[in-house]
Amino acid sequence: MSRYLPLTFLLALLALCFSAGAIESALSLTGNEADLGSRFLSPSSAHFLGTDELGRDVLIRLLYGGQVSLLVAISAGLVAASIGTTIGMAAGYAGGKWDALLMRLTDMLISLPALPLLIILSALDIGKLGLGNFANAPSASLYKIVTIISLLSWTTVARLARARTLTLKEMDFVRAARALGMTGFKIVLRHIFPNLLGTVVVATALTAGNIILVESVLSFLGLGIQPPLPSWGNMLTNAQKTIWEHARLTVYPGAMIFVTVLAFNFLGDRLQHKLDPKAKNRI
Amino acid sequence: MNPAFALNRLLQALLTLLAVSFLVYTLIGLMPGDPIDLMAAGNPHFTPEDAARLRALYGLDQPLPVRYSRWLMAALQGDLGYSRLYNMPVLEVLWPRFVNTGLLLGISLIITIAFALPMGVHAARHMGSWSDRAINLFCLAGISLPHFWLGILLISLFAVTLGWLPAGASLDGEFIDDVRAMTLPVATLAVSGLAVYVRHLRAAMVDALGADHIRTARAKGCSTRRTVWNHAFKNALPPVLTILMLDLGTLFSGALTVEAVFGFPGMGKLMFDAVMGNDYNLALCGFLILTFFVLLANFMADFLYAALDPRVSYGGQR
Repeated sequence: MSRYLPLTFLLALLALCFSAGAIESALSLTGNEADLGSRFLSPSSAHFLGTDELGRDVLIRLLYGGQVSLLVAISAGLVAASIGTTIGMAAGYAGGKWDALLMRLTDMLISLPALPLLIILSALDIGKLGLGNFANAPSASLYKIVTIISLLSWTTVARLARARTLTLKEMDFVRAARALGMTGFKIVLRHIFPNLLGTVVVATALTAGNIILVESVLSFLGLGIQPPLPSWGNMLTNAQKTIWEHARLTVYPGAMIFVTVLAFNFLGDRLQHKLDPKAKNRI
Repeated sequence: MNPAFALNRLLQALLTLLAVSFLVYTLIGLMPGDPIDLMAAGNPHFTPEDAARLRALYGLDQPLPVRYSRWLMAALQGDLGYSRLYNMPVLEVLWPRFVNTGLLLGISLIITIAFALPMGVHAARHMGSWSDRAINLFCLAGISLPHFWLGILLISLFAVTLGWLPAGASLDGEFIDDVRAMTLPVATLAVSGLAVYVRHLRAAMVDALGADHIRTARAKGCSTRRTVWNHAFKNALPPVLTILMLDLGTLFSGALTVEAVFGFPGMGKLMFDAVMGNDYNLALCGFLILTFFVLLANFMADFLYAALDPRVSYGGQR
């Protein structure tokens, strides 16, 4: 397999999903409007993957759903990576009591049953937080899911960043910087951060794959992305309802999730191998 | 085992449980649908004065810390309150569901381990061979597979297309029916867990097989079988068992997904229904019980590790 395949695949998927609107109008299909005259059509040259329970083109919906899933994965992944890197570097560089405190917090978060907690969190009424009209906007479910998932996904990055910081802290160039009177904050920013970026990128790729899985489960359960905004998860909810008549519809969204997560995991694996060719515990 | 260390860990676990309970209790206040509002919605003669009186009666007009400490005091005396959805004490609702989830997790875990053991050990013994690569690829696919989709695919194959097994998993007490109902959920969970355990086992076995005493054993003419199982596997077991114990939270998450797909009457489905049906006391207690067992498992993992590996001792003098 080509070593660039995962990255190429992800970039192509990203490009394809975000040109869903153009593809839709070019092929004169409808991905968002119901067309009750053409429900549950089989795949044909007009509808490559057929139509769903409201007569919407499945392929176009998959692309729109991909927009949402990828957007959540990338934005929540970046937020989680920022939180994780900050906490990991702070714990690793400060050491002592701060390290113990932050790592206990991380351990606690890791050990909690994640999905039950996510279910409780996603049922929260953000209207009660006093955000006003924002809470009622159609894209509110998107922001909410990104926030909730990033709050629970930073732990892997934090642990790896901390471990790397502990090693870097004792290296000669860091000690030299300290001896020259550089402040701790500057050392972390100028010397530690650039050197642990590789580790963080690997962990972020793996985290992003996991985020897609989590988002799809929540959306599948009806607690994540709310219809009519499509996501691969909530497309499966509808597909399961009609599984006895049209089992075909359950295949596509799941396959998209699977292949995308696989690509993220392969990407992480590749990068890890590049950073540390001797690593024995590869995924 | 050093008693001071054990006490310290126990205290830490209790503190965590307390923190989690406070956090979740606070969050519950942010859930949609105040119970008094719900009463008001169902009764046209309900005046704002009634609402205020009821709020005072149930102590809902008190500030959060007061409400929480009252709840905590009652909970410590074994009174977890009522479930609005089921009109029963929470514990009575939770207990049978908990047993069901335990059964589901237990059976699938046994099956997972039965497959993971030979696969992991084989992959580690033949590191770099085609079978190792195949197992690696399988694991990568396994951790990328959405569990609920696997469940749906199994339903569409075995229930819809072949008609061999039921699509739902409601238990009715008839042994044969229950076994048939549980087959697909158990299979889904077992397959989803397999990849993770094979990877851990493989890594631990690779470590164990690389140790010096393995070379010694081979040099003195120990058979391959004996070397692998008595010398290496014995050393690979403690870390894997510990990971298994630490992984209970993940297992609960997996169970929740599978229960929701199959409608299996377990803790996960219950919590999901509770959140959907605005029964927040039930959701809170369910989550705390899951957390309690996760912390218990974490606590026991430390002891297990020390018991299985005589080199490990926590702060004690030997």
